[in-house]
Amino acid sequence: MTTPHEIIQAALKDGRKALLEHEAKELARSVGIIVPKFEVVGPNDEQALLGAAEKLGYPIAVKALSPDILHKTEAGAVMLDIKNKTTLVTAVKQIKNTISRRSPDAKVLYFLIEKMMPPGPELLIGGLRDDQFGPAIAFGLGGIWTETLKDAVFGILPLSRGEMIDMIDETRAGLFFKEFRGVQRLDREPVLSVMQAVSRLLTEYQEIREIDLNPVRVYARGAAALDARILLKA
Amino acid sequence: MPGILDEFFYPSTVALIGATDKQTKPGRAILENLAHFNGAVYPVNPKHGTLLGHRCYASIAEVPAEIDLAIVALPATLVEHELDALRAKGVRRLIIISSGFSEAGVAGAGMQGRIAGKIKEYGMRLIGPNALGVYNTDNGLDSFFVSRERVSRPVAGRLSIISQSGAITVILMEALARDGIGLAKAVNYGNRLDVDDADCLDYFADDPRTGAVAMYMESVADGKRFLHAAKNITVKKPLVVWKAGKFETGAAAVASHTATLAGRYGLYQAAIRQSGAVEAYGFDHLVDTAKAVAIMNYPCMGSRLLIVTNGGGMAVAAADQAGMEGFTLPHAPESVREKLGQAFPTYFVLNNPIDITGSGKDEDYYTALKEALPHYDAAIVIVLMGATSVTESVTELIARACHEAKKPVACCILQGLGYTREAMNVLLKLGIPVYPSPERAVRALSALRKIACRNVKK
Repeated sequence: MTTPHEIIQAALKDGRKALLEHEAKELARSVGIIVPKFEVVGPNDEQALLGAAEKLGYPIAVKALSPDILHKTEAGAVMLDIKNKTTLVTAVKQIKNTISRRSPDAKVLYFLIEKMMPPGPELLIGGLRDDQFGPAIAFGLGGIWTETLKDAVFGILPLSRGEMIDMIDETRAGLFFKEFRGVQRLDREPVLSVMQAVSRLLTEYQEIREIDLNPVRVYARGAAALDARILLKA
Repeated sequence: MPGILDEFFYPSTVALIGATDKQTKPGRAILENLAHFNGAVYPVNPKHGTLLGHRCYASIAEVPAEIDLAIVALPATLVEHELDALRAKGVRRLIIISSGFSEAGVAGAGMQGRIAGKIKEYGMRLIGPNALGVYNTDNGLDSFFVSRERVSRPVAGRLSIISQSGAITVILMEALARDGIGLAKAVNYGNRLDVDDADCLDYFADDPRTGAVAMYMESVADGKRFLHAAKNITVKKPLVVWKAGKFETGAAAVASHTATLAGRYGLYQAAIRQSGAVEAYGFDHLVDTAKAVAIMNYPCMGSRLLIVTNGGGMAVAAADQAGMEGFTLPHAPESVREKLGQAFPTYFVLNNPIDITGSGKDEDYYTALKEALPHYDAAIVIVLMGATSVTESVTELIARACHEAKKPVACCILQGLGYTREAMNVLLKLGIPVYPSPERAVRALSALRKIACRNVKK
């Protein structure tokens, strides 16, 4: 088992300013954030790829991991909802082709394959370290709505539970957790736990410059970070 | 450290370095304004023997008194040298009005750096440079280099101003004067070389004359200190903050969503929210909100809003804004409506809004508010003074009903010109904030509600 500290130190030693997704997810997991089950395989190891997919069970998502690619979707490094072996092999080929076309200099180190998660409302939960205000966390609508609706609010650490609830209530995403026609559909507690966990990462690991969990998908019980990005101090 | 700013606001003796009779120079306007100060004023300028009836001294060394506060209105290049003379004189508090420092490029920044070093070494405290300084209605101290002929000063009152911008300070002063909002103190710290936003918040938190604070800022000197000081003051009195310069794009590489969304503004909003202050979203909103928090003494403890009007359209506009601000407009309880039904003619509309129509009289406002307001958290009262059935006395009756119910009321009585101007002033004197439009009145109550919500949580 590699500890979060070791993951961060190894990345810094390599001169990387960002963790790879599986590393970021290890850090998230270490503070209790739920992430989809995943496996990491070498870029040309088809046997390991198929074995891992078998182990996780279809449908799966596959993502190419490269220190040179920060925005995976834009680079064409992600394929979702793969239902069988044949599609998986094709998907990996297609990802490789797209990357070599769009980002010819990008070196793919691994393929990450993970269990597809059921649909649900998507949030952004993040964090950053500001020169003026110190560590702060962010909360708002996630997925494709993050940039279009600009719903995020910030909170400067340390934050009480009540102040985190204030943050949620300030946003439109907060409406997910309100009673609607007499029914409360989604539980706020798991979201508060993720916010607390992100705060803990920022507080415990001074090397972290930014954290971006987006989307965090919210279910009737529990929330899972489907993507995780952690930037380190240069 | 208590009292850092006390000597800035309450000096016994003030020296004005760079006093002059030249109309175009700041030293002239300041000297004129210091005529209102109830302490001793010592103009300093080697070129004059007397100035506007004052004896003028050739240097600070010649001033025959200890100086509590020096106001420096010299060209920037002369300031550094003057500090040595001020130190020799034992002056420990100074306001540097002069501009031409860090705001004016590299050379200016260099001079500012050297001044910073001297201030520290000499154990002085400084407001400025590039600042208006202080204004105190308590003792008439006024270091602003804008003449009273050109820019009116507000009457004495409970609101204090902290502003990073001199221009905004001046315009705020005039807006307060125009709207009849009383001022306690104002400070503009300009380039903020020493005294900063957090120092000012700390001082006003403990200043017994200050009942509420309106703040304009573009940046903070130290985010953590600001948050701490703002949290501290909001426990004692309301703070309204307008953060301008919202959409600066940082030079930092934008690698993640979180950073893209932040700018700095998101963090300022967080600091304002977490401190328990209310955010104002622009100049008019700052003035309107400051008016409400400085004048109205009753907290808005909930969302149930009553509207009383003698004009339908204005009430509809108020109701729309109330909806946007999260207020609800429930009808008064049946017992109240029955009572009002007996007291009023049948054509008064006893819903919410309660519309006493163009023939409603002064006493009808009082009756409606007396019976209904106790069942609500706040009220908007709209009076179209053009209706011949209402008189000036309506203002006193509205205020009486408000103070009896101890619930916040905001009034809307047209634009405050001519006839309505006097009614506006009476209402303000009686502790009722009054606005020229229903939307602005509702927004002001909304700010009071936000403050009350945050105070309950504390």
